[in-house]
Amino acid sequence: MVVIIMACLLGIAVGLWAPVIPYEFARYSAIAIVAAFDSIMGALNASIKKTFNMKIFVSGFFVNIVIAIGLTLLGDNLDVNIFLAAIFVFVTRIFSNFSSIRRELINKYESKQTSKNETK
Amino acid sequence: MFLKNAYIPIISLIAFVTCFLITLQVRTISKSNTEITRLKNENELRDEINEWKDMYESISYKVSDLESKINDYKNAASKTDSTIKILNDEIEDLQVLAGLTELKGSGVIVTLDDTRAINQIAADAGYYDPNVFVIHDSDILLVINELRAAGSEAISINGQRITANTEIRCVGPVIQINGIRLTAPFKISAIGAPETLASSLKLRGGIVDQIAQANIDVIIEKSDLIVIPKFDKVIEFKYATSVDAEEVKE
Repeated sequence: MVVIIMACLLGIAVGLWAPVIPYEFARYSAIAIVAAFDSIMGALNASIKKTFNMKIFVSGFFVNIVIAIGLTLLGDNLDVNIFLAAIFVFVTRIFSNFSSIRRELINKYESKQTSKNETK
Repeated sequence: MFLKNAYIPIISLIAFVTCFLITLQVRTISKSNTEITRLKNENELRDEINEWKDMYESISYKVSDLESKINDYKNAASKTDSTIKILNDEIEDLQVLAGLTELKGSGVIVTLDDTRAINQIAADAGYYDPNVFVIHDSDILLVINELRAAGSEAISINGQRITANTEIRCVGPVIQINGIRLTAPFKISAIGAPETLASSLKLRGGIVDQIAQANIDVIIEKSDLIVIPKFDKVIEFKYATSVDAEEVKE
C-alpha cells in the first residue's frame, strides 16, 4: 500500500517537473486520463465482485489509453468529433461502474446487518 | 486490502502513470488558459484601438478649434499695436517654414505603387520574393531628396507633411511617417516649378529609372494646384534650447 502511495507522489513530482504539453496535444492527454480512470473504476468494480483479473486490468489500462488517443487523432484528421464519442463512452462506463460498486457495497452491508440480527 | 503482493509493482506503475498524466494535464491547462484569454483579448484590444482613434479625432478637432481662437486673439491684438503686427507677420513666416500651415501652389504629384506586373515577374523568377516588390523607405527618401534638390518648397506623403523632423522609416511591411503608418500607393505631393521637378526626377539614370528597376510603378503628374496639408502635431523641444549670442562668445 505504501509503495503505491509513493508511486502516486512520484508521479505527481515527475508531472510537476516535466515540460508542459503543447496546447494542441492537451486534448489527447485529457482523453488518456479519462481512459485511465475508466480502467481503474472497472478494476475497482471487479475486485469488489471478486472477478478481478490482473491481466485484463493492465492490458485494458494501456490499450484503452492508446486507442482513445488514436481515435481522437483519427477524428481530428477526418474532422469528426470521435473525441466526444470516446469521452461519452468512458464517462458512461465510469458512472455505471460507480453505481455497480455502490450497489455491491450496500448489498454487502445489508447482508452483514441481517446476519448480525439473526445471531441476536 | 485484497491485493496480492505480486500485484503491487504493476498497480504502482499504473498509479504512477495516472498521477503523472493528471499533474501534467493540470499544469498544461492552467498555462494554456492565459493564451486563450490573450486570444480573446485581441478583439477587445481592437475595440480599444478604435475608441482611442475616435478620441484622437475628437481631440484633434478641439486643437484646430483652439488654433483658430489663438488666431482671432492675435488679429485682435495686432490691430491695436504695430510691433505686435510685425511679430505676427514673422510668426506666420516661421509657421510656413515649420510646416504648420496649409499651403497650395503648382507642383507635381509622384505616385509610387507596387508594380502591377507582380505575378508575371514572380512567374518568370519561379518564386515569390516580397522583398523585391515592396516599396522601401529608401525609395521614398530618394524621391524626396531629389524633389528638394530641384527646389520644391513643401512636400507631403499621403497627407503627411514632411517637416524638418519628419522620419521616414520601414516598420515591417508599412512605412512610418510622422508616427503614422502608411501603405502603398504612396502619393508624394510637392509644391514647386512643375517642369523642373518632373524633369529632375525623370533624368536619364535618375531616380525614376533607379526605382523602376526595383519593380515599382512610378507615375508623375504635373498640376497647377496642389494643396499640402499642415503638420498636425505639436512640435515640442524637450532637450534643445536656443543659444544666446553672448554665450557663444565665452
